[in-house]
Amino acid sequence: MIEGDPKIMWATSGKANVSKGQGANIQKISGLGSSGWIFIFPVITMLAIFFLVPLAGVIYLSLTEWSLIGSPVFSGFSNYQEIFANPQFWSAVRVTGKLSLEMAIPGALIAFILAIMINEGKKTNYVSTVLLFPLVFPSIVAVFIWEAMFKGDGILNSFFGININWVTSSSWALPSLVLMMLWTNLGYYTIIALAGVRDLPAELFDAASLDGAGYFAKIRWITIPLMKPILLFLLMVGTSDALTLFIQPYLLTGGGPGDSTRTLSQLIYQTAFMYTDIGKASAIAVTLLLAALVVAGLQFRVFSKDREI
Amino acid sequence: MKTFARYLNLVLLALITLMVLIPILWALKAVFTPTGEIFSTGIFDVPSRFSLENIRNGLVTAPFLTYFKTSLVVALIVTSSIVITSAMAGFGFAKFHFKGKNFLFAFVIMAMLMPFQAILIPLFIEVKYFGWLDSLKGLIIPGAVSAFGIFMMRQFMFSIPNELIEAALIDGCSPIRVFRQVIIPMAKSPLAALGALAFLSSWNNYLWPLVVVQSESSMTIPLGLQQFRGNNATAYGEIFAVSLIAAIPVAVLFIGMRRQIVSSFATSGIK
Amino acid sequence: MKKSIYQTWGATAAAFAMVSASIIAGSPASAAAKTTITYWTHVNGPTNVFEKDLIAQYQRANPTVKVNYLPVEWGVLPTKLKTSIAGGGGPDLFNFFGGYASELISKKMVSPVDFSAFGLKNGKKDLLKNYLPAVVNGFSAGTTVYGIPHEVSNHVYWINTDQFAAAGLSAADYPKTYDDVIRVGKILQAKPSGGLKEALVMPQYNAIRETLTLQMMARQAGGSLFSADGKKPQLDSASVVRALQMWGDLANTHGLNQPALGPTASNYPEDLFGAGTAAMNNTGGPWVVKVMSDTYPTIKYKVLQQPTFKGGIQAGGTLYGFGLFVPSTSKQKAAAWKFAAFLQSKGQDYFDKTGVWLGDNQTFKSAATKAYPSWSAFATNFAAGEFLPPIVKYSELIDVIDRAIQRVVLEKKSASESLAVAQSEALLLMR
Repeated sequence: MIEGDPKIMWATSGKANVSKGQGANIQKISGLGSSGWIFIFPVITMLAIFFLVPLAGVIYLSLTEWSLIGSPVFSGFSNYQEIFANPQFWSAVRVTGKLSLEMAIPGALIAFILAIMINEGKKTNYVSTVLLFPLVFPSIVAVFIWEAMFKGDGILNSFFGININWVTSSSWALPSLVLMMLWTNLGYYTIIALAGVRDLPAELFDAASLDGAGYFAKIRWITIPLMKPILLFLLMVGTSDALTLFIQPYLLTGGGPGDSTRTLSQLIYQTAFMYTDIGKASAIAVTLLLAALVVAGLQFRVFSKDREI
Repeated sequence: MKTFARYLNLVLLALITLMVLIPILWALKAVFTPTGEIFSTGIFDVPSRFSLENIRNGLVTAPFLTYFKTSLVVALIVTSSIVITSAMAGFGFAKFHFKGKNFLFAFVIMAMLMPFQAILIPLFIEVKYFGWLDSLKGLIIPGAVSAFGIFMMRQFMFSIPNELIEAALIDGCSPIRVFRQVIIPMAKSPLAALGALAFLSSWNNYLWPLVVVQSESSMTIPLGLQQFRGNNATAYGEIFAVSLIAAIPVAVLFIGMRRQIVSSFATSGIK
Repeated sequence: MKKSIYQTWGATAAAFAMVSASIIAGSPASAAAKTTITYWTHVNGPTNVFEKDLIAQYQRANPTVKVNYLPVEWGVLPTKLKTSIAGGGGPDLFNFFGGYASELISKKMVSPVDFSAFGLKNGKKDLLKNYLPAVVNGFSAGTTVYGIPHEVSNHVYWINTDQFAAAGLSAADYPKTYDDVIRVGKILQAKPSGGLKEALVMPQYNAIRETLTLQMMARQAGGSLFSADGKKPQLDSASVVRALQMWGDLANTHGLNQPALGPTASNYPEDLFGAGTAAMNNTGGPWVVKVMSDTYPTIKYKVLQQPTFKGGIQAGGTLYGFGLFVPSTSKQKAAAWKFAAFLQSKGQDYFDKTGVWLGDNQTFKSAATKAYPSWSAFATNFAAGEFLPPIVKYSELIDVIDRAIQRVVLEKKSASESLAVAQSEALLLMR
């Protein structure tokens, strides 16, 4: 009862003298109108040249048959029909979906929790730096390291005295991949979360303490609402990392055992560069992009119920 | 109870850090282990002899200094470009209102969601058409902006208080001046984080340089590492040795930038 | 105020342009006006070093020619090659695994051999004087030859003699049949030495090698994965089922092979053999001798013929090879074939320095070659072995076979069940 009012006030406060509450930032700033074009012009131009043009190429190729020599031959939607009839495609859809959930949600959550822990402690900056070390290795080297971790007589099994077939069993292969990707990416999710947490205004927390709010209450009513843009970002980035993930599963398990780690990205790669079927690979890519846009749209909708995000 | 919680916090963080480090420590040990023994010795076993031959062979086999220079030049230019353009675009998308803004932002999101190998061939054909194959241009320009960076800066800039901007505008600042004098100082921390990530991403980039590079003169480090991956035997010791040596300057960069990366900008610019 | 925005913007744009201009100015100048041919091959330490020497020799003998040499890691060579060809470019000569020859030919990515540039007046007839017909056929479509054989190898059976001795096994115990393998394997695992963790290492994470092995076992059982013309799959035939079932039994019923130990996607059975993890290895040809001496010098081994089924035939190992091809997009085809001929003429040197046999009869029969360690075992195996039939959809089909093997070995399904699925997938692909 007492909890209701003060929290809402803190979370949406436009009253604190450093108005970082969300309410104040929704309004338009007069004077910042069409001059915005100047700021986005360079990136839009570059994206147009280096993303939109190839994207148009991909969409076009998805409607053709082409094996690299000569010109592509128009074939309508036949590529799409073929991939939708192929069980390997649907298996890749399932794997990609599972991977997205298992990478994005734990990734964002753990990063968020770690950021709070680092922020709370003293002299804890080293943690965020060390967490970045995995990124210093090119993927190939990271995969070598994790092969040594995952082998039957490898580091994980001998250290914990267990005997799991990490990458040679279809039930453990995908979790192993998730574990490796979390190790790889946690550093960068965490520094983003940390930058967000550090930015939260101390005044709001002090005011809340004065009003008798406990530790977890403050997190629930101040930290989480104010971190929503960052959390959305982390979730989207985690999802996009999973959707575009290709090199690590390709090098670690090659999509196996069976198809248990074969993501759509991998299917695109092998269809284009091993099977030399550019048309079909492009069709899979377009399908993936459309599905990804739907998912992204949903995430935006969920997070922007109460504010412009 | 509070003190206990604090200690627990520190202990847990230290534990997590250690867990993340273990695979790296193993790689470090592998640098000094003869290749034949790397996979046969467990993490706590000591190799039969402490060997520096991996480092020696690694550096001698290929002109890594050239690769290092190329990787560094590309990474530095790409990073600066991404930081500047993302800051500008993030500001534009976060604080301005103009027609078509959301429509354009949707393209940014699309660019982030597209797996690179899907556009690899059309992009290659385009870059070849420009005549940029096997050159620094081909390595740098296509990667000079980052959808991830734009999105990230936009999210962070939402939390910059509008009052500050309005106050500056009322004082007669142009939007560009607002950008330079209000926004950038406030965004130092996420910009530093973005810079670190952009640098790493460029440093480790493999697929694009693979198809663009046609000769040793424009090779980057990840491409150079493949010299050790024969189809009949892989020289793990040398790969780890060279990767770790290549990682040293990057690690030093991070440790030096640590304060910028994790500092708070909440205490800056508030008057 | 507007003026100042554009002024500042102009300054930023100018700065951007200057940086770009300096990049452009700093790019390497284009090649001098010579004939430049580009040669791509796969990474292989000793071979790459040797070929760089050969190139230096060739450039001295032909001062108007420059050869750009680029070794590319095998796993990504297809990507780089296909991307370049898609862009209308690519190398002038490339070294590629022979199993893909039919695929490359059917997709028109490679040009027929230009025999006059290559230096053989009577074309294919002259070629057949120095190469086995089976080898030449592997690089042909019908009567047209598209590639020059540039490495031929086989799979022999390697055993670690120290580990055998420590387990109380003598030369009489060296396995000749799978029953022997099972008996000996159990003894080796009961008395492990030198780091032994599994008796036998089998290929995995390597669809090419797995297919070669399964084909060998199928031939031992009297059959083949594909019809001799390479047009029809026979994956669910009795001999293939028997072969795959034996593979699965060795791992799961008899516990002689533990997939979790490896090889992984980035190492090979010879790495486990060399580390002492496995006492027996059924893949790898003459080039492994060099791997053992360079990387695993402490292992004492013997080269045997492949164990076969009781009552089965001695089928050698499945032969495989690499070839030199000229892409159809090359603009210097004649120069490329001329250079290829030069490389081919160095067969004995290749073998002496790298253990790689180019496939030519001359090297095969020479006295120098006969002095190679374990050569008689290799030669016997070569004589009994056969190449895979030429298969157009090679990439897709080896993946089908790879998944079939995984279903049996990793998921412990029955071979007949797994191969029934594989056969239906293959039929769809080979319509």
